[in-house]
Amino acid sequence: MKFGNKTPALIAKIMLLGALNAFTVWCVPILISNKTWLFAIYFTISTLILDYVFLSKKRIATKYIVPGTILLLMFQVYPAIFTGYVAFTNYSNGHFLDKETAISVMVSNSFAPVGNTTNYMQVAEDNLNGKTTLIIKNDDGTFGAGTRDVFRPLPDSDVTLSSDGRIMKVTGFRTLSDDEVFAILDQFNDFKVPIGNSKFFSVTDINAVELVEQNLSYDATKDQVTDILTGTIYSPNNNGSMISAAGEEIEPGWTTTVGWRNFSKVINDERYRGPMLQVLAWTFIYAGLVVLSTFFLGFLLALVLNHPRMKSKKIYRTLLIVPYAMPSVLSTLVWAGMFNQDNGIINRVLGSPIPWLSDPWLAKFAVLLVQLWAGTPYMFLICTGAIQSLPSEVIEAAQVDGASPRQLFSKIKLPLVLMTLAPLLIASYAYNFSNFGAIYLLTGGGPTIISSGGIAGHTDILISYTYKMAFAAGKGNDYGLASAVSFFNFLLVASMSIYSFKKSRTIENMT
Amino acid sequence: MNKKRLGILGVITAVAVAVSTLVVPSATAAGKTLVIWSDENRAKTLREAGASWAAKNGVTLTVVIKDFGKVKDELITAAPKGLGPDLLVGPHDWVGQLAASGVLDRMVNIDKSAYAASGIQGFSYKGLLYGLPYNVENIALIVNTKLSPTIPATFADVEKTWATLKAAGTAKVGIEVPYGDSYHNMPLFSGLGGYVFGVGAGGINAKDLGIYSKTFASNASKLDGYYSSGLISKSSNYDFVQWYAGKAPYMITGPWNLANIKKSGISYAIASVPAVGGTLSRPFVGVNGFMMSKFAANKIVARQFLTQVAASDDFQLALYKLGDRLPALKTAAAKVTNNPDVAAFGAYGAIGTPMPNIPQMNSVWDSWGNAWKNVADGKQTAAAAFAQAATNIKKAIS
Repeated sequence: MKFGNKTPALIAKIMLLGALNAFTVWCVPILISNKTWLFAIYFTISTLILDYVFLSKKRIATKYIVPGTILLLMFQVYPAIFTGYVAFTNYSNGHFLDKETAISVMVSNSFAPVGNTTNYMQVAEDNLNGKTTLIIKNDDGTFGAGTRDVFRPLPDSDVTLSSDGRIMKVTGFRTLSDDEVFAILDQFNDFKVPIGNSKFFSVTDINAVELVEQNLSYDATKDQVTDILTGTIYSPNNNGSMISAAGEEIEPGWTTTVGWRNFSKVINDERYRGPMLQVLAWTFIYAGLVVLSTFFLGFLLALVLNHPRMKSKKIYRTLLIVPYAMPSVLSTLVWAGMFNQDNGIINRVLGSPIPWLSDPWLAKFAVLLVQLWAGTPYMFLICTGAIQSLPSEVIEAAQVDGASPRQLFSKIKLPLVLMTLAPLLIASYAYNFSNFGAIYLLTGGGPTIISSGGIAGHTDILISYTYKMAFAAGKGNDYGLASAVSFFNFLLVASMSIYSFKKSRTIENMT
Repeated sequence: MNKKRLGILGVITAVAVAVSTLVVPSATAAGKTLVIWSDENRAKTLREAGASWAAKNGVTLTVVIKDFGKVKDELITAAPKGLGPDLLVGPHDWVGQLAASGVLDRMVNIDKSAYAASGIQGFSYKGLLYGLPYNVENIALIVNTKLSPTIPATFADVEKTWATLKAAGTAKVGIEVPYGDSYHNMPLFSGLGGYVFGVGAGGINAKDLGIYSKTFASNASKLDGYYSSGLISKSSNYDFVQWYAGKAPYMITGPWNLANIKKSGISYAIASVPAVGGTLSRPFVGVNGFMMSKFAANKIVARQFLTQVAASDDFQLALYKLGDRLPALKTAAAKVTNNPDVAAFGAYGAIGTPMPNIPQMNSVWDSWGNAWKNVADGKQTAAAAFAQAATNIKKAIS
């Protein structure tokens, strides 16, 4: 074996690929045991592709593209498709289970206790067929042997009791010790012995059963649930619920596709449309005001700090970067504390309990103020860059032509800076359009718009409204509806990005 | 050996190593296990109380600490996949959402009469019991016995004491009750004839909304009067500044403030809020307890833990020590004799109503709280504010 100067790279490659393969081999069986087939297959195929591509000597270009593509598919494309799918389902509170599970839960919930007593029981094994059998003591003191299929009485002479009434021996059966029962305990999670008339002995403890009565039964061929006592028939409706002719619904429901209903809800249902329009309007205004205010202040500061007569520029510039360098999550939370009505530093200084975060207009003002603080350094940075790269000939030429400083600013500097920064400003607009943390951490979207039933708030932007809809509102979580709203959000942000790209292309063409 | 072969060899070796580590986790799955999801505060007590039981019965008890705010969502998504716990610890108002989503199993072998009625009622949903309660908590009237030497028996007494103190200039507000907070205002609200949802034979009836009930409508103007006379004030908040400063004869709060009350040095008594209108002033009762997952891997062991550990006096008393909340188990509550404060809270809680546990309650809080704020701010009369809240809530839950 000969080691060339490429050996360290080769070793690194082997180690990285080895780690990747080890990871895949480790996690695929786990994924399979969790029945997440899609990811198991995806991980396997991705690993094979990566091995193939990186072990081959050719395919240089592929080596650059493949890893990124694999991650892109998994972290961007898959969630987007999944969100799109959820938008067409009723995945929400009360509809989290699949149909089969939901129906089994319905039926199992319908086993109601008869009276409130438990009967003594001993687990045994049938000597003939080895089946697990329960030796159950009836209310009248006689005994019976029950399996999941049948319950038959035992003659008293077959059962030998201990002095304290425990079953010791049963003819034809082998009684199991507690330890033996514990070894097969998972069998008894749902062990019911039918005794006729839709009544059952249901295991509740290692030596106790409870008399229960089944109230609902499911007919798979007709896809109907029947109330055994009243005869009421429940059929599936188009929203994943079993519903009677009288409109009575059985909980839980199941997840099912509902077509365009979530979208039509957002557009047609006044409970959602009203708040949604209000939130949408505020989102546009908010993002616009943030970009304008931060750009204005940032540009102003950049001009001032570029002025030749300005002293200690470095210190000022460093100080200005501080809000930018601080994690925005942290600073937003600090601001939220400062705005606190009762204990916040702002109200303490002002000496009056101003409801900063609970008055609709003040909360909007507070949100804008915090973003002004957090966003200005970025604008300052890019404006400084833009101003410094302004062609000095143009400015000198203007000065020679006798332009006043004001004219110089409004006719030369501002247009030139705006032209370079336009794509960045659009990008910044799109960013603020979906800046979830800025809103959610400061006001939580509040104060609530009362007519929205408690979901939308006066400072909510589209993305925080979506989040609240999905995780924290109304009758619980409505992921389906939230996905539909996030689809609208996606459309808006995507069109902004496209516009931004086009804009930057025109600028490229100009220069 | 060329480089390509060397590479393949490396990959194969790595695969082999990974395969050999695979065998380990699957081997430990068998045996009796019990997984409980709990918040951080109770986890330690659960582990300690469960340890001897687990050792005696050969059970591997695992208490998993979960973020309190996320337990519900996690259970709903994890349990049906078999990744959930056997039991979870939480407040009773989770029951509606969880049971409606089909992830809870009902309790069996529970002697309901052994527990505080509000505890059982709180954990019942659509006629089935979904939880084993271990404590109950509620707010009560905290009396500054220097300003109000006699415990008010009627609401007229409360008003009279306030009028006297106000005239003398010794108090700034009558009853301190946090601004805009429906939970703390509930005794006043129910005393004036209001309620949230009616309770019928089948449990809570979401169609019977009592935010603007007939009785409350006829009494609503009294509430306006209380604000205008200064008996209650919009400047009160969770700090209860005036009460602690000795400038308010009464406040409405819960056992979580007991330590602060004692520290303040003010002589106090814990009493019931007297009936305001014709109906009793009922507080909300919060219940904490254990719930069982519908998809629990080991229901028998879980039930044994509930009946043998959770339903024991010792365990309920151990949890009682965590936070001065009265045990839900009557025999355990009877043993709390050395703490008259907790007993006094419990006495008032006996007439309380459990906070509604149905999912529709989520749509109530904001509109309802806003009505309180508007009345306190004088933006709306009580009649108008609560009528509007009722309309909004009905629209939201329809």
